[in-house]
Amino acid sequence: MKEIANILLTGILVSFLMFLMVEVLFAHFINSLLLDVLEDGLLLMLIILGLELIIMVLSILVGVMVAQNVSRLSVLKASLMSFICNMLFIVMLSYFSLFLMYPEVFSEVSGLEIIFILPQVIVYYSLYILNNVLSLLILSVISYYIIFIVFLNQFHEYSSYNNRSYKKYEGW
Amino acid sequence: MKKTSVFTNITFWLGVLALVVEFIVGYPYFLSTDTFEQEFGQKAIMEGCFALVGLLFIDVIRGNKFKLKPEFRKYEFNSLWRGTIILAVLWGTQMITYFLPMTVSDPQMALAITFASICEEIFFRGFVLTLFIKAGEIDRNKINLPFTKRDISVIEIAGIIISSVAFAGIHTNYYNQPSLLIALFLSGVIIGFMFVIWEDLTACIFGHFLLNFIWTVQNYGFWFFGMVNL
Repeated sequence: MKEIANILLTGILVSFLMFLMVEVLFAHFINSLLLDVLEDGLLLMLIILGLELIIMVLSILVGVMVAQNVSRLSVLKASLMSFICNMLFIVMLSYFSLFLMYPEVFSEVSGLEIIFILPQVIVYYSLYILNNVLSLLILSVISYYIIFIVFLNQFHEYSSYNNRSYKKYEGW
Repeated sequence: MKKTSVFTNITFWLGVLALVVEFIVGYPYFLSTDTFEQEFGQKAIMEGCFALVGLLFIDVIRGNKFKLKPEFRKYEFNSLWRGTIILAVLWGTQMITYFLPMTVSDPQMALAITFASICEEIFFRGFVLTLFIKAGEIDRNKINLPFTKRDISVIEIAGIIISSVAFAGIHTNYYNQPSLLIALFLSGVIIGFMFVIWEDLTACIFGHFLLNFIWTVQNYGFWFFGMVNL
């Protein structure tokens, strides 16, 4: 239990700390190269999705750094699985929330087009439902680490079983 | 002194990022003709240099071979709780002495102040204090630190004081307010003792960073610091 709390807290804190620094570099990149080239709507989408991507990548890297007591392979598997699940979770949450609260967004969209508006859906979700991009990022990090912990526990247990040391494994 | 690296992989990469950010933020101001802006740029670059020196040479002082990417020590989960203790003690000290006033006028300044904490810890605790801890190994007359198992030499105590004086000394904006300099000196002494007891740079960075971050947010407000200029 203590280890779970530690991975959660350290992971969230360090991911956020690193994010604050990396977003500065991202802002400099946008400021110097893209600010005058792109139109406002596209730029906003690029910023929000870019920040989301940055925090996800950092969460994965920090997760690998923090979970040193577990075998590297288990951590990598758990990271990959939790990244996929977390993205699905965020996408599903965005679509369902917009369906429930702003159904008019989907009124002019038909068929497969509903998939192609995915970036806009995430942007709308963060701006109009969560009211703040920061909330989306915090939600992403926290949900990533919760899923990561679950997968890590599963893979660790599984690998311990494979190594015939299952009896010694007493969980965290 | 143990020959393992003082850096965990987290501390090392935080240091590298802080160094890059300080240089990026400071460089445009460094070239400015305005005196205030130039001074700000110089300070940011100085902080970056602190981190660079620390990242390159701490492990050499500890007796390890020079490596651009050292063999990191294992991250201890206790660092998080130790960092929280450091934050609480620093906060308490500031309440007894003075809360340091901050004049944060733009996002670049907020950035530089927030991440300066990482550079300062790497330099003053990691580099300067490690020099004295290494020198203190030859001193056989050590005093037991109360409530701990750690014995400390006079050289190490001198190191804590000297690094704290230097730590207070680089805050040139508080030179006309001695009470604030004393508060900074006390903070330096506290973190110094905690570093000597635990030898945990990660905890010092966590504690100091959180304190600076909370202050910056209180004084400036929070948005993504880099994004404000867009």
